[in-house]
Amino acid sequence: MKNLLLCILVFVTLFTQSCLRKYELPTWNTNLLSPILHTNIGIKSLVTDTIIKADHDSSYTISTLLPLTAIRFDTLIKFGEIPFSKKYTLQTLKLDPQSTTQQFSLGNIINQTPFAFINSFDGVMLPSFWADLLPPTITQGPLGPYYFNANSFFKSATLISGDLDLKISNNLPVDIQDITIQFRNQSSGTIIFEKTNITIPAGSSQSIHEDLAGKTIEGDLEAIIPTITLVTNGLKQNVIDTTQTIAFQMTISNVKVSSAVAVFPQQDVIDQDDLIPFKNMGKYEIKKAVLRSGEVNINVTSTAQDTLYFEYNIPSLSSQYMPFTTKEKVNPGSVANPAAFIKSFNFTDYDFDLTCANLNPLRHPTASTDTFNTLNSILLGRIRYSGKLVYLSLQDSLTVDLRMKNLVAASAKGYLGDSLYVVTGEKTITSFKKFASSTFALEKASVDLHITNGVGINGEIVIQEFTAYNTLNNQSLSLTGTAMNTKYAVKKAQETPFEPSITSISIDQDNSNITKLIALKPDKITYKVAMQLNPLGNLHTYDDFLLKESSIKVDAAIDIPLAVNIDNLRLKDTVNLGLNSISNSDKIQSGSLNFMIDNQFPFNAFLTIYVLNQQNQIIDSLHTTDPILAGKADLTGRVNKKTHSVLKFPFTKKQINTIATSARLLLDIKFASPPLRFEKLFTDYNMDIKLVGDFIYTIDAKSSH
Amino acid sequence: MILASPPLAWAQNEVSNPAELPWAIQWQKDTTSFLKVSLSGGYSLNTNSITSDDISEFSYAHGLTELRKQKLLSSLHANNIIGFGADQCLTLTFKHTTKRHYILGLKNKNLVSFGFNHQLPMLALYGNKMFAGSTVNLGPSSFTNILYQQLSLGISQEIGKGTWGLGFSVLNGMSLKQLSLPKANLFTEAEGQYIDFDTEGDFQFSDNHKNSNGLGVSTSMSYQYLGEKNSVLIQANDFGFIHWQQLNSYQANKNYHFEGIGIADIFNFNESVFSDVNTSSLTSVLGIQAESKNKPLLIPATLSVDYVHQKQKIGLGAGFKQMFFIAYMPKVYLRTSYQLSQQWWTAITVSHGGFGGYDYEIGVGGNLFPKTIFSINAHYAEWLLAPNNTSGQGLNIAIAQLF
Repeated sequence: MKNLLLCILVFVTLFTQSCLRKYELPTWNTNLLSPILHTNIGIKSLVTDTIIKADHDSSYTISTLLPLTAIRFDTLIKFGEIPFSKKYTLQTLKLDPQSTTQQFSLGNIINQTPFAFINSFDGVMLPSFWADLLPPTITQGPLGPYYFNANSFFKSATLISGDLDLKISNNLPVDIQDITIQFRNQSSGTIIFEKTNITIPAGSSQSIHEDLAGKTIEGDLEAIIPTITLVTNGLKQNVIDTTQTIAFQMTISNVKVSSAVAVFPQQDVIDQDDLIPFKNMGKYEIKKAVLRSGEVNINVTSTAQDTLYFEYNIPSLSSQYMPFTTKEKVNPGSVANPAAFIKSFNFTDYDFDLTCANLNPLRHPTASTDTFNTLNSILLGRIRYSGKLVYLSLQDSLTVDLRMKNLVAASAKGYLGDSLYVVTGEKTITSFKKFASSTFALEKASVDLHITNGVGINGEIVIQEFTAYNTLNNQSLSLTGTAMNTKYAVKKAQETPFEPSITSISIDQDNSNITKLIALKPDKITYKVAMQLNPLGNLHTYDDFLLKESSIKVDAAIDIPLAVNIDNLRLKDTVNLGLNSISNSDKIQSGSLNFMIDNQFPFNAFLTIYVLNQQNQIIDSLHTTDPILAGKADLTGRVNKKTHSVLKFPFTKKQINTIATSARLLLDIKFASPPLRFEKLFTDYNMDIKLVGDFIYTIDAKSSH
Repeated sequence: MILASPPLAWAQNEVSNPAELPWAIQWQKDTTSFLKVSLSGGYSLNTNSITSDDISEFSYAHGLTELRKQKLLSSLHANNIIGFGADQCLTLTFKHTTKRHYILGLKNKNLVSFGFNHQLPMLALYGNKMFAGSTVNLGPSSFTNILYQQLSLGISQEIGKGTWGLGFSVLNGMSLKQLSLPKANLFTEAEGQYIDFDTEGDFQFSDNHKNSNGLGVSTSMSYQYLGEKNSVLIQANDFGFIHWQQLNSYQANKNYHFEGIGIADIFNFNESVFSDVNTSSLTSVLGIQAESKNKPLLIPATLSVDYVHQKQKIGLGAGFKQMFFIAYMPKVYLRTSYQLSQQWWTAITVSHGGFGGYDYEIGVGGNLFPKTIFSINAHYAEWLLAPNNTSGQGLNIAIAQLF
């Protein structure tokens, strides 16, 4: 047991011993050598907002392109709100042809004393005794009234026009003579027509026409035959057949009514083709346009007691070559309570043809198909067969209230007016900022105003004011000379293919004092430029155009021949870091920032790095005595091979912590070349810069664990 | 997988469990108990090169001195291995009959294998400046860390003179980190103007924010013969795989040239140049594309043979163990045990292989109470006695209660 306890004691001791020491992963220092960044500096990096141009003598010209203004015209043409209201009464109301038939049998006709006995011989020959007694003719009457039902056709109608055709077919074995027939409205007794002395031989028929214009007829009609005379020969020579008849077929056709309670067939009731001129267009005479925005509100009211279907077409508005058309309907209304229909349509991106090129010449024989500012619209109204009796009148109307709003052209063609645009503004120039401590000796300078006209309108531009400011020195100078207030013609853009025209106006020492303005090393300019469109007015060529992308841009190209004294050239610029920009900077103990520079510029340079705080105050600096060595020129004066330099900027732990928490670095590069020596600069000169960190870095195994 | 009669606990350095055989016999013959609940755990850290003293220094020192760095580097071989394993295990064994047992087990496993050449620690300890103008060969190097849980169900059946065991497990893949660098040459230009990294390799890791990154299955088999004087135990454990979900995979098979961040205009760059360098920014600079992959990977399987000859109070044993895991070498051992009393035994084992060279283990085990069994074995001795010449340390503790 003692052994056992001893063993356990040994294990517990070992185990607890191992736990007594605090587990902690170590730290150690390493020496890291790491590239950080690499870049290349040419003359373009030194002078911002510029284009470097090589002159014929190999010296530099610095050209700064300064955008002054850009006028966009995508909302130039706004059409005024177009209210259009018109009341359309029903133009026609037609009824379908209708036909009804009534028959009178022989038995009915001879049912009067003293000839009623003939009916008793139905089916046999009339005995000669009785036949001999019969006179040559017998007259009967009155017959009727006989009812004609036209209620399925109309209840009542006042006719503007209409035809009534009565066909009488004599199917009796006897001739009939001297028939008188009378048609009348059953309820009012109004006689529609009356015909007398009608004679129809046996087995034949006769038609009678009656013009119904101006008459009012009802659905309940009746016919009366006051007298009818039969020639008795037929009765004597044939077997008596009392079922044989005289048939009256009445047909009403070509009916147009002014009002009616009727079952109307499907028919067009309105067909209106209108020309609507735009007003408030000023001097604009627009032929064609593409709408950037626009909407049409249609408000239609109807007094008709039937559903009115209408189709509204605007041939002047089309999308992808399809004219605008809409088919709608207005519910039944009344004069006292008209039915309404309201709807809006969006016309964005629609093509607008204001020439009325597709006008129907039959409807508008005298109208021009090459006009401007004019809209063509067509309204078709229609009723459909419903099978129901409804009241309609030519006094019923469809009132169309059309309101076109917010019509703005994105592009247009025609005569686009003679607007005057005066543009004022100011611009900051940064080209000279980095050389604030340097001095310039300028021989000459010039400013070219480049007017890029993307609008299909001729124009005229005038420089009314141009002033340069050096706000650091509190100096300013305004442009003077003939360049001012001269009218410079600006050509219109080319339409197909679209290509803006470019007009250059040169402001140089010959026509202005521009060299003095540039010599100020301005950091700001102000300007006032006037642009007159169509200075010659409306020549009725209608070839002005405006496209979506149309704009007029004015840029100033400032050309400065670079003739600088290198000794004075000092470049200062800041590099933004941001707070806590270097991660784990606390683990960097010391080291150096090594700049590896391959320099082609033909001058030495010295670099100092300043550390700035948020207020741009210098809080630390890194120095080196190592210079950036100049590129060595060959016998032609040109540097073809770069010179390698290593600039070491040692830093302490405190300094790297300062840099890590600073806002930015200021790089101060002082260029130096032998005194009184002018070095030519070539466009391909550049400098390779590589930044390498060489530092002692503490690795903390605990934090990386 | 823990099988019926086989060892009480199956941990990293279990080979010195002196009471293993007596307990197995006791459990087999015990007719009053029907359930055994075992709780065990342990760890083992081993290496073929770095000494225990260096590991201690690395683990407990505040800062590495130049002397310590030199000593650490001097102990390295051309190819170095560091391995680590830790597990915790809960096992329930139901005695259905004297010949048939059912086993239910829950285990947590953490395995680490790290193989590298001697230049990698040189670079890590001194930085790359000392290699300026020359190439550092960092490959071949490999690193694997796998952490998974295992829920097992098994059966053991006595057939003839031996007992056969078979078990199946469901695996929960918790974490995987795997780096393989067959080639990795780092060249630093003499002035540091650029760095070239010529590499072939891949790196994959699972989502650190999830406790389950894949599921898998495995199987285990065993055979044990328990004689009066001789016993043999053959085991094949953890043959299976985990189907890992959404492994973040990077492949790098080219020469990366880095000369710093390219700046178009030095006067207009921002602070991003100096901002944090993390995995995504580094891979972005190097042009390495990350892929999310579902991937089945084998878990480290183990094959072992253990023989014990018991003669009165003394037991003599020998064994062999192979874990199919990167950098693991076949491990062989000799063991002797001694019965201290009726209930307690002790053992000493000498082994070679695994993640390290020679290891010396000592263990003690016995009955704390009539039905409570306890054992502990460790290899701290070499760490304590010869820290400058030996490597490795480990500890296993197990306790079991019979019901």
